[in-house]
Formats: sequence, C-alpha cells, structure tokens
Amino acid sequence: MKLHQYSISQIKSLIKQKKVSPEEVFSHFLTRIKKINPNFNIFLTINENGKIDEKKRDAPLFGIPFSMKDTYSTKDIRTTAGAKILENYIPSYDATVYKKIKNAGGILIGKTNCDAWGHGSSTENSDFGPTKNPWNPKYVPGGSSGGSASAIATGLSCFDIGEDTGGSIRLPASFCSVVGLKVTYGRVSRYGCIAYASSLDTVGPITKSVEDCALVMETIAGKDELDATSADNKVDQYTKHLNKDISHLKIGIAEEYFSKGIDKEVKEKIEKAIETLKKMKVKIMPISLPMTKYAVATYYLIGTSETSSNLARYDGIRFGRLRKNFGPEAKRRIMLGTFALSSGYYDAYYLKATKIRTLIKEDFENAFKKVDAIITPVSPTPPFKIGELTNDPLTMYLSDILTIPINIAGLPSLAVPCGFNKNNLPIGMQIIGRWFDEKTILNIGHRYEKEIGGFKHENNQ
Amino acid sequence: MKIDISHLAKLAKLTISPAEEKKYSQQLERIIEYIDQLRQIDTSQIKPTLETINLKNISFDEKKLPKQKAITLKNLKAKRYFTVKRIL
Repeated sequence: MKLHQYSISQIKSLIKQKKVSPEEVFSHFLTRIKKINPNFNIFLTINENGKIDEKKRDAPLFGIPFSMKDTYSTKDIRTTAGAKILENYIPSYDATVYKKIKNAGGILIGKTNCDAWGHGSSTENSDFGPTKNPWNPKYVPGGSSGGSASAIATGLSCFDIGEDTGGSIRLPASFCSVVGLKVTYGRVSRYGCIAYASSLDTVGPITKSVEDCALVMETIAGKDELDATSADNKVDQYTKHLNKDISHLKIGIAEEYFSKGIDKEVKEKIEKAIETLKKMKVKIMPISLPMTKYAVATYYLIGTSETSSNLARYDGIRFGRLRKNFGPEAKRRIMLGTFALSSGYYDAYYLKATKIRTLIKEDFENAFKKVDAIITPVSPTPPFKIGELTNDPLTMYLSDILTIPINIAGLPSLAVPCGFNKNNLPIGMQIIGRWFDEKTILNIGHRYEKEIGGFKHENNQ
Repeated sequence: MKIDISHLAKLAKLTISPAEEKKYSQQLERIIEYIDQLRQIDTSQIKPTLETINLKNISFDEKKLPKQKAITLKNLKAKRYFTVKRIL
C-alpha cells in the first residue's frame, strides 16, 4: 500500500477497519525517510521510537505520523531551531501544539530542517546544510520551513507543523507544490515555539491537500493559557465548511501584486487559477493595497528588532553554545534590530515602522469592506537555484515581498499549488482572508483543488 | 549612512572580527538605504501598531522548572550554581 499517497482521513479509515495497524503506518513512513531523506537533507532528527498511545484510538489524529519544523520544543527530543547554538539542546517541556497533536493521537516521526532561527527564505541559512527541492535538487525548497514542505512533497510524513513570520510556511509550500496555511496571529498557540518575532510569528500546518490542512487545524487551533497572545475567538469546524458553495464570494485582485517585477509564468498560472474560480461563479473585483511596497522595509525593522530581543536569551550560560556560534544571517538580523532600537535611531526606525504597520493594516481593513478574500502569487519568481541569491541579503529579503504584508497585518493566508513553469518547478498562489476567517479561505482552496482534479504529487511515488 | 558595526556588536554581545566588520557594514548600509524609503510617508498623525488582534492585559500563573532539571541542561561541576564570565 502506498500509504504516503493517502489522505489523513483515508489512513484513519484503514486503521479503524483494521486493514493496517498504526505500527505498520509508522514503519512505512520511517522506511521512506531512511531511503529518501539522505538525498534531500529534510530531517534533522528522526524519532524512530514513536509510540502509539492506545488510549487515543478514538482521537481525531490517531495513528497519523507527523513531523515538525525544528523550532518546536519536544520534550526529551533534540530541538535545534536549525542552529548550531542549540545543536545539543534537549527541551524539558513540550510546545502546546505538539502536546495537542499527541493528545489527538498523532505520532511524531521527526523534526525538519529550517533556516536557523527562522531567518531565511530558502533553508540555505540552516547551520546543518540546505534542504534540496524535491522537484529538482539543484533548487531551493523555499524557507524558512523548507524541510517541512519537502517532507510533505516527498511523502515522508502525513503532515508537518511549520512556522510563518514573513512567508516561511507559504513560500516553501509554494516552491514544493504542497498546501501551507499561515493562520491569523494568535489562532494557534506559540507556547514552546522558539521565537523569531513575537508580534509576527504564527504556527500552521503544511499538508498534501486542503482537507488534511483543515483537519489538523481543528486539533491545533484555540486559546492557550500559556500563550498570552493566543486568541479566544471560537474555533470553527473547518472540515464542515470545505464543500460549501463559493459562488456568492467576492475575491479581490490587487494590482500591486501583479506589477512588472513578477515573473511572466507566475502571472500566467495565477491568472489561470483566477479563470477557474470565475467559472465557479466567484465574483472577481479589482482592489488596491497602496502600502504594499513599504512592507519589506517595515518587516525588516519590526522583525529584526523583535529577534534581537528574543535571541538575547541565548547567552550560553544555562544551555546551548556561546553567542559566537551565531551564523552570519542571525548576526545581520540581530545587528539590524539592535540598530533600529538603539538610542538616537529608535524613533526614526523602529517606531516609524510600527506606524507604517498601522497603515498597512488599514489597507487590508479597507479592502475587506469590499471583498471576502484576496488572491495573489506567493512568490514573484519560481524557485531559484541553491546559491543563486546568497551573495546579496537584500535580494533574498525581497523574495518575501508578497507574503510579508499579510504577517504585518496579522491576517490568515492559504498557499495552494497552481501550476508548474516550463522547467517543471512549482508555482503557488495565496488566498488571503479576513482576521479569524480561516474557514472561508480553506473553503475556497478546497473547492479550487477539487475543480482542478487535485494537486500534483509526482514526488510522492 | 555609516553603520558602526563594532558598537552594535558590543550592544548585542556578538563577536565580529575586524575582517567581518567591513562586509557587515556594507550589507547593513545597503539594507538601511532600502529601508530609508519609509521617510516618504508622513506618519506624524499615525498611532503605532504593536499587535494586530486587539489584545488587552492578560496574566497567568507561571509554573516553575525544578532545579535539578534546570541544572542538567548544562554540564556543571558544582551542580549548585551557574558560572558566568567575569563582569568586573
């Protein structure tokens, strides 16, 4: 049985009908990891002794093997954040998201590679070597959750939990032709998530299909007493909304996301996806998000300021290696943040950025008075080659130009595959929704997926 | 704008060699030059946004990590206290 090609619901069904045991499912994925992982450098830690908890037989994710970006604390299982400083760090507690999935019967199969501390758009900043794109190993899988998206694209786990601060779930999902959800800020608890930028970080699923994503969301979303920034908004039954009719919905297309810097083939594939939605009787409307071009600058002030503060805890005194072990990108971002917060520069840089943030958020508030969702490309370009952008940090930062504004505003956004370029490299689109309206973007994404006959998973063979 | 890398490194307790200083200086100057476009926007009447979901003051009771567990994370000789580099 090619279990890695089955959906979460299908595997659950097979287990319930006793056609396969949870041990067999776990073993199937473990065998695949041992065979395929060395070619792509996807996993940093493999949890060979994943235990099945019989008491959870009726739980929603019973018997489902899953992986997590290595930025989530997993008690007694090494957690590195992709960084040499934490190479030997063994957490003494569980992240809430990990605890929730375990309580739902999920079994951790391993921790996936990422740019160190989440700092990156390509996984090339991992202190343990880059992950290679499963569609073409000469190319990057995107970042910073590159290991996560690659694990799903190669069928090494049923779902992964990534982390998105400026596009770190959506970009790798798009570059690897899988589904990735950046949730509304506060929708999923960040307790136990190794922090990058506290007002921007979000925890979210990376999956083969939108249905799998909705299923995982039902387990991980919700208020957590341990995360003071988690929201107590009601958690919707996301799977129940997937098949609802979308013909009454209005979708906005913002001209700023289709400017001349966008690759021709990317534009074509997004336009084709929009045509598909039009055939489903969705109403397409032009909107404007004029502050879009200031988002990257704003992010590299707020994000770096917050990370300079969050990474101050790595003093090498209580755990981990000394600070001289930070990689070049971490040093760059810490220094940028230190600069933005320093005396004499705080007002003109950090404070200024928080005010521009207000204006960026207002852009979206105004747009959502007219539309229910916004569709844009995820990346201005298809995947790039390993080493192609590493000489110029600023060019690398601009890879996130289309994903960053969504984090600044705190909105949810679903990345779904929408085609390949002539070099067979994946292209993705994002469906942005109102605050806490994940159910609408999952609905649109699922209906689109069904309409095109499902997403391609050739690497899942 | 000139960026003083050695000053930032001192503030952030980072180790930057003199050879690296020039490289980081150039990179950060280029990034700040890009960021400076934010000056184009008049924000004199705009309030800052520090979080995006209208959070209000929240508090909770913190649980403590047992001493034994805290100590085992670092290989300590005395097993009773943490040692740090000399400050004075």
